[in-house]
Amino acid sequence: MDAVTYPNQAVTQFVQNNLIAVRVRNDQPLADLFKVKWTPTLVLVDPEGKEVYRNVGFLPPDNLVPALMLGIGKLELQHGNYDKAIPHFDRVASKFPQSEEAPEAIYFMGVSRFKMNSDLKMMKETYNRLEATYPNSSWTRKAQPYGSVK
Amino acid sequence: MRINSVLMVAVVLVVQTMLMPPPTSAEGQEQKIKWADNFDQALSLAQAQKKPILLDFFNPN
Repeated sequence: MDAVTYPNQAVTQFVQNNLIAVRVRNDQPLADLFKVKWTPTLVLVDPEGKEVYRNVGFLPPDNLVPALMLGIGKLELQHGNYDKAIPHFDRVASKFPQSEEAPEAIYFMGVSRFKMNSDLKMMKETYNRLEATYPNSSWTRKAQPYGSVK
Repeated sequence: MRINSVLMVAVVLVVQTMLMPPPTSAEGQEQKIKWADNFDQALSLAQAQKKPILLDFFNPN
């Protein structure tokens, strides 16, 4: 991460603008508190200290930004801020369509929309989009039951 | 006449370059991630700035 990912200017800019970043050695008590068993481990934590997203293993620059965007979207979703979550998921899907996070972002964008108006058609639209763009994704399979919503 | 005009433009450009202030140390340097010192400090900053915290657990060896 030090050699490749963190020096990347897109990564640096994203982290500086959106996150408070802390480096923690794996032999520190905080690593035990967060049950870290392998490095690198990245944990996204909300301002109250609650974990909302985790990645274990190296991430190249092109993967780290969409992974963190997805994590921030999930944070807003978990806090019930559905209107704030949607733009983060949308950015992952539109700016990083080739990333492995993109189908997951589309799925949770649909979840956020459903949570806002309780309309299952949102999930049907989500499934249709996933099936059209990521037919082999596990997130498409997870959305499959909503494909038959009338 | 044409050569004189070209020379005049060249002289003006050289003088302008000489009069420009030197670049500051920040210019041209790559930005680096500013890491908070510890988790408690990060929590305070996160609450003040309403931003999530990124914890990077690493092996120093």
